[in-house]
Amino acid sequence: MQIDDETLMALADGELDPARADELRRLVARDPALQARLHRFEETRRLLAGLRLAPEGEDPLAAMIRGAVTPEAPALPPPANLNRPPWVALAASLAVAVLGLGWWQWSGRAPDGFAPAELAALDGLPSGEVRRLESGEELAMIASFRDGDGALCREYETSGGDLVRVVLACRDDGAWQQRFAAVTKADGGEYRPASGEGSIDEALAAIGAQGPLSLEEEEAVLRK
Amino acid sequence: MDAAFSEALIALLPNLRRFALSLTRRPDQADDLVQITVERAIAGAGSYDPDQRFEPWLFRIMRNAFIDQTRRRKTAGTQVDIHEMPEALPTDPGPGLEARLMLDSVRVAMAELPEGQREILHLVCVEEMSYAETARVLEIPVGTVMSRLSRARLALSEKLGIE
Repeated sequence: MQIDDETLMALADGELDPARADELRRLVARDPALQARLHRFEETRRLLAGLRLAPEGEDPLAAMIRGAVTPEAPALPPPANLNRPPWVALAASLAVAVLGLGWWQWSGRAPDGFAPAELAALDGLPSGEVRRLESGEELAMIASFRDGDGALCREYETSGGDLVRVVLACRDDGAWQQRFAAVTKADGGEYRPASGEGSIDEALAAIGAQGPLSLEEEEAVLRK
Repeated sequence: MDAAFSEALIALLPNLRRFALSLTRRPDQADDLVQITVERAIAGAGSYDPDQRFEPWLFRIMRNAFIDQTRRRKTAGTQVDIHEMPEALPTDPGPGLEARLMLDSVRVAMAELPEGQREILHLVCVEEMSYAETARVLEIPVGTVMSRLSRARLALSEKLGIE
């Protein structure tokens, strides 16, 4: 009876059903040629298993993965930053090359100038919503905050092509002022990038922002 | 992503590093590949079906990322292969000299095999995936897994001088 290589390999790998495996082992036991062929499959498997080394110490990525765990739901109202779950911050910080300040060189805007549609979005677009700008870019409102003096601040992103601009603006005497802006480039681009890299977090810390406002709080502030 | 998912992912980092090194044969590219895989796994945590084993799901993400990476690197210039930088291979202080020499020759023989044979040997014999799981990772029929794997095993045994 002819036994092919694949069947012998499946025997070596424990992939045959027990009855078939027993039957084959009996055949192999009385045939040295079959034993030699089976040996090559058993031996390659045994040697390759040696490559399964135990690592020393914890992997450097472990801490970052733990840091991306979504915390247990708090008993507070949901924050108004629905499109920024904490893991996005990790994904963004890992995947995004920050091109740095100076976004106006890229966008053609004046440093503290907002396009009319951006001003309209700052005044009325709820967090978590996306609006298309005249330029064809998309503006996604991320979240609203209060700064240390109680002024309203809002974080948003505009994206066009593979560049994403992230902006933090605060309302000062009724006029919007830009407090932070950076352009990031998506690298690989499966998820929404750019919303959580270190520098925007630093900017939020610098203005003394507490946690994001809830959607209800935000709605009440925007109505004023 | 919940804590259970993150701990499961952390527990499999060594497996991801091994598979990445086996695919890329270059430690720097392997590190990049692990990082991309982790990012994609976290971003796609919602699409993981907890009734399925975690390894095949992760390996499939890694392999797809590797294919993307290779496509992008087509124009990236000369690459130094791991053969030429043996010090880059992971060293294992555990086994004695003879066993270590054997392991080294297995690694070298593996690294010389074509990519399609290397990945299938790694998944089945190093990571101990079943034929069916391997078929899902590589998106090929089980019959193809068996024929490719048996050719790879014979090629490896030839290189290692196994009679």
